[in-house]
Amino acid sequence: MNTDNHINKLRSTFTDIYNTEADSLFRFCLIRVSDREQALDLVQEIFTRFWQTMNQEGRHIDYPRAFLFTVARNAIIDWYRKKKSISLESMADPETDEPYEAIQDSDLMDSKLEGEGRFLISAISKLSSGHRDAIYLRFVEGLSPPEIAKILGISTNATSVRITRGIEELRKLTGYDIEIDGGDNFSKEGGADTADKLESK
Amino acid sequence: MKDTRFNKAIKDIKNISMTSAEKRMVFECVMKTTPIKSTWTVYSFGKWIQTHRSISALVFIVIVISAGNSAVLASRNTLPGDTLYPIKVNMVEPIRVAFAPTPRIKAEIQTELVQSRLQEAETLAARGQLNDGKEQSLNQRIDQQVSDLTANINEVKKTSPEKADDISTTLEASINAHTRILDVIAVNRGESHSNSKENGAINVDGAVTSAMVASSSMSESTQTSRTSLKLNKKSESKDESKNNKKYSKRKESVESLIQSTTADVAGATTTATSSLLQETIVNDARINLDHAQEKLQEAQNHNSNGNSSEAYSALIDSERATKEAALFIKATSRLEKEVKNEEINASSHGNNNVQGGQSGKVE
Repeated sequence: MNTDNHINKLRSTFTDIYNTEADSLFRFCLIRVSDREQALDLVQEIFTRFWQTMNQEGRHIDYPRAFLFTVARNAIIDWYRKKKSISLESMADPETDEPYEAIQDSDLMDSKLEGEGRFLISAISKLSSGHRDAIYLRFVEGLSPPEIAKILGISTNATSVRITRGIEELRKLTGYDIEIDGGDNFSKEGGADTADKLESK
Repeated sequence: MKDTRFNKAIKDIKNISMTSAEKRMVFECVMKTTPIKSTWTVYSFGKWIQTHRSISALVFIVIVISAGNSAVLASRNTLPGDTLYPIKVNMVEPIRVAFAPTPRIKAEIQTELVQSRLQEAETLAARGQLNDGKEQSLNQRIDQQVSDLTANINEVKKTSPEKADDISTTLEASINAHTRILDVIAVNRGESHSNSKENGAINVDGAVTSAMVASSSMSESTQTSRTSLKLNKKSESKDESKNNKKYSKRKESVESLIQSTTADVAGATTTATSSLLQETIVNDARINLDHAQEKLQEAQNHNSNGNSSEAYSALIDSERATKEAALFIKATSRLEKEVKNEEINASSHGNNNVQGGQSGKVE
């Protein structure tokens, strides 16, 4: 009986997280792979891994959102590695290790993406690889710098620096007057506690 | 405030979503997958330990305790020169003494320890392994334990004089018996050595001397305790009814002890083989038992004459003699085994030498 209760509890938690995060992850994958079917496959793969981790004995996922985006990033990198043949050039340049497919209008047209949104996605894809994910996760998905730090595997301070520099780069590319959010200078704000918690994990 | 175009762009991007059919389909596909159960590997055990720190600490403590316990158990029957012997004499025994709740129990344990040392000397002597180093270390330990015990017996006397008498007689009997046994072994081995003309014969006489030294020091202490016992008895003799009660109680225990030891001696006599060592020791036990019965008779005579203190003293002598006889009987079977084992080893060693000699000739 206890086992059944435990499974039911896990299923209910999973369903809640799936309903909240499925669209975010789908978006994240779609703008990276520019293929709707492929993005759906990746979302399925990400949630399968998440579900299996939840079912492992003694495993508890403290930050499901950060976990899901980390898995998504890795799944996308794997997908690129399988898709693209490795060239000597790419092996020499570590920057290319973080792939980003150029957004294709034809794929995104299906997703009802309006002109302004398409323009921003296109600009984000042109950002340097170090700033791209930080900017996307911060402004589109609204993740906090500590959460982004966890996903990118860097310190929260480094994340804040990337966000600030990414904003500068984006301003130049788009001409948008983007203000730096107080939360991005997290070290002066309340985000520091979360950062400590995440870093200690 | 952020740019309105930027906000609109973000809003547009957020409109990208899965259709409800897609969402349902992906969800069902995920739920169809059965969770993979991890197989039990060393790595997963390591992971488990990492995640259950408190339990793993407990497991570690249990392992350490059980390993220590195994070492303690293994060290129980060790002899000087064995690897685990220092654990027994330097750890287990001092802990036993230190944790004794009362001086009486402490004295009993200390008596056991002195007996153990003497038994070890006997076993080594019977095996022919009692060299100078072992003899010296046993001497030192016996001296130390006897002096500790003497100090402790004085403590016991204050609270329970009868128990102090009991411990004194047990100790005196064991020292007398073991000294006699060591003597018999020395004579026995001396004969066998002269017969076999072995070189490097072990100095058993030295062990006897050392035990005798210890026994003499102990005898002194027990004698003084007995003298003080007599003095105590004189002061107590005013209370005749109390003395009579004490006498009759002790007499009962001595009689039952004589009875059980007589049965043991009879059993040992019927199973006695032609071994000189065993015959000598059983004979000694018989002599002691006769002496015990004589002393018991003497005690009864003194008591009927109204001389209760003399009666009590004779009773103590009888008790000591009986205990000696019981110790002789206990020692026979143990020593017989040792002697037989040594004979087997010696014969197999001799055979090997003969075979070696023959093969040498063939070559």
